[in-house]
Amino acid sequence: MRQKKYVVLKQRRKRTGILLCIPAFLVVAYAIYMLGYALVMSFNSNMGVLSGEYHFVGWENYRKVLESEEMRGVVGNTLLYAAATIVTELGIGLLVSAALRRNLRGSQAAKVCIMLPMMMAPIASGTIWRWMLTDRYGIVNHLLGLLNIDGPMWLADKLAAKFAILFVSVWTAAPFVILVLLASISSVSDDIIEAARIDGAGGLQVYWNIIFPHLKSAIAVILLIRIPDALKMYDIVYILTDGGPANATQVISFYVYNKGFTSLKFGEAAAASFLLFLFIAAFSVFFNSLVNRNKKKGR
Amino acid sequence: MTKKKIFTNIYTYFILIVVSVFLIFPFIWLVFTSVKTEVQLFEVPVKILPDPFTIKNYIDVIQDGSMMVYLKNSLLISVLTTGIALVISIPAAYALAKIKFRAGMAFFMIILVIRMVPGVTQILPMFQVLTRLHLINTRIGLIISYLPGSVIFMIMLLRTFFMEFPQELEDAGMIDGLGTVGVIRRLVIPISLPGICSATLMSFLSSWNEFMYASVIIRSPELKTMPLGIQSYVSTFQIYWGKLTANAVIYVLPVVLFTIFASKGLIQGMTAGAVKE
Repeated sequence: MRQKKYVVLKQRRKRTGILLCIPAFLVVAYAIYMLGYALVMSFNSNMGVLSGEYHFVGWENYRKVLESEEMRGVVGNTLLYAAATIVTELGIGLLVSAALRRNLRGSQAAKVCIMLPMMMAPIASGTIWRWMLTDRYGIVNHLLGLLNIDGPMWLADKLAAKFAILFVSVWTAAPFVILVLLASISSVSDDIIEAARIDGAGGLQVYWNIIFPHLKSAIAVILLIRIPDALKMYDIVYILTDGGPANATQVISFYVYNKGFTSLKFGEAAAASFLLFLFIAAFSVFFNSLVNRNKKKGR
Repeated sequence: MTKKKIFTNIYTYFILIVVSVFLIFPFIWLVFTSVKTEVQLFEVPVKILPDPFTIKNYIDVIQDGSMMVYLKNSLLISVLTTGIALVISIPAAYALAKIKFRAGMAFFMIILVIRMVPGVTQILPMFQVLTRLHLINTRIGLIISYLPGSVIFMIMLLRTFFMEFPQELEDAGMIDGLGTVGVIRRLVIPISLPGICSATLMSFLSSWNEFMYASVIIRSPELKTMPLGIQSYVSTFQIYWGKLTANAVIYVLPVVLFTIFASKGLIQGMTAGAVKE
């Protein structure tokens, strides 16, 4: 009798769970529908999407995208930015989080300064950087001039434009990396460090042997969040260089957007965007399983 | 204090100051630019301090009136999106955190997959669908497009907060005759309020800052949000930097104030999902 009552209660609880999830599920279903729609679109001809008919073209769109010269450059750029920004951010993050850990006077103010860029709209940060990087009237080249360095035409020179994008993306995303690392580094107990000090370990040794291993899972999380984000970059490129000069700063999201909304080739755009999704999903699943396996090994 | 300690302190301050200046300088420059005259902006060599100081850009921008429209639209859309997302996400996050059921586990897996879909993959079909439903160039269309992202973000974050909610408290509530909805309303929400606040703030910011979807969905000037307003300054033939920066200052000011006053909660919200695993 009691057993039966327990089962009924459990059943009821499950039913409540489902009911509570229904509104959220409807919203998520909309997103699922869109994803399916994108998949269907990627097998439709460009004209078909525009006229609202369906001309099944098989892998045609995917083939076109993968074979195009432009796409190769775009993918190269995207991967390059993702790698370069994340390495730079991690470098800055490790350095600054270690500095903030010492909790000197003024650290709180530094934390607020560090947060601000992350909160700001990318479109606004892109705008202000664009003004700062103007070649004759920009403050960056003026400051470089004070150091007797002749600043490049930041947004018109191919190589310099790449660095400009890198610079601004690091500026917007480094704060996140710093804060996550700081949260993790703050949980290293002072006692362990004190003990190592007494045993005669130097500052670098302490960092490398005690603090750094502690940060590993935080770094894994950062990579898991930041790499997909960096691959999706759009706003900054749009406002800063508009993909120019001569497509030198094109990235995938930007390419897809223009393929669709400027050239009206929605079939190809959908194919390219779906490839981006698959790449991100494959990366996340692979990386996640890698991290999990290491965690198990660690135990 | 030993010599070595003084040296490490100097070194620490050096890093903190350099990085803080790098991160904060664009904001200072934004404000400086907005209070300079148009003539002074194009002086070579560049003069750092605004001289003469002028608020003409702000007066122009406010008198022009379009900024007020953009601000109103941004506020309306962000508030509505966040409000609706809150009402939808809290129950779902509670169910996923506290109730073990197979459908819930499946739902959570779906959320994890959908979270990986890039915005640009979503916006292509959204444009087609919204056009067919005659929702293109409407505020409702934009809110509908923001909702999945906000809801998924909130569920993920709130779920981690709710998992910490003590089971004993919940049981006590149940014994005293609260139903599930009662437990959520009377116990879970008040106790998890800090977490809910930071989730709300972050979700609000993501709508407030969003550009790509808005640029596709919104066309008419009277419906534009702030990012679109700023973009329209940049894409014209001549860029009026003074007015543009005055606009940008007004746009980011609430965000800056939020950040300064709520920095602790925001840091917690941002790192909560990342550090616990």
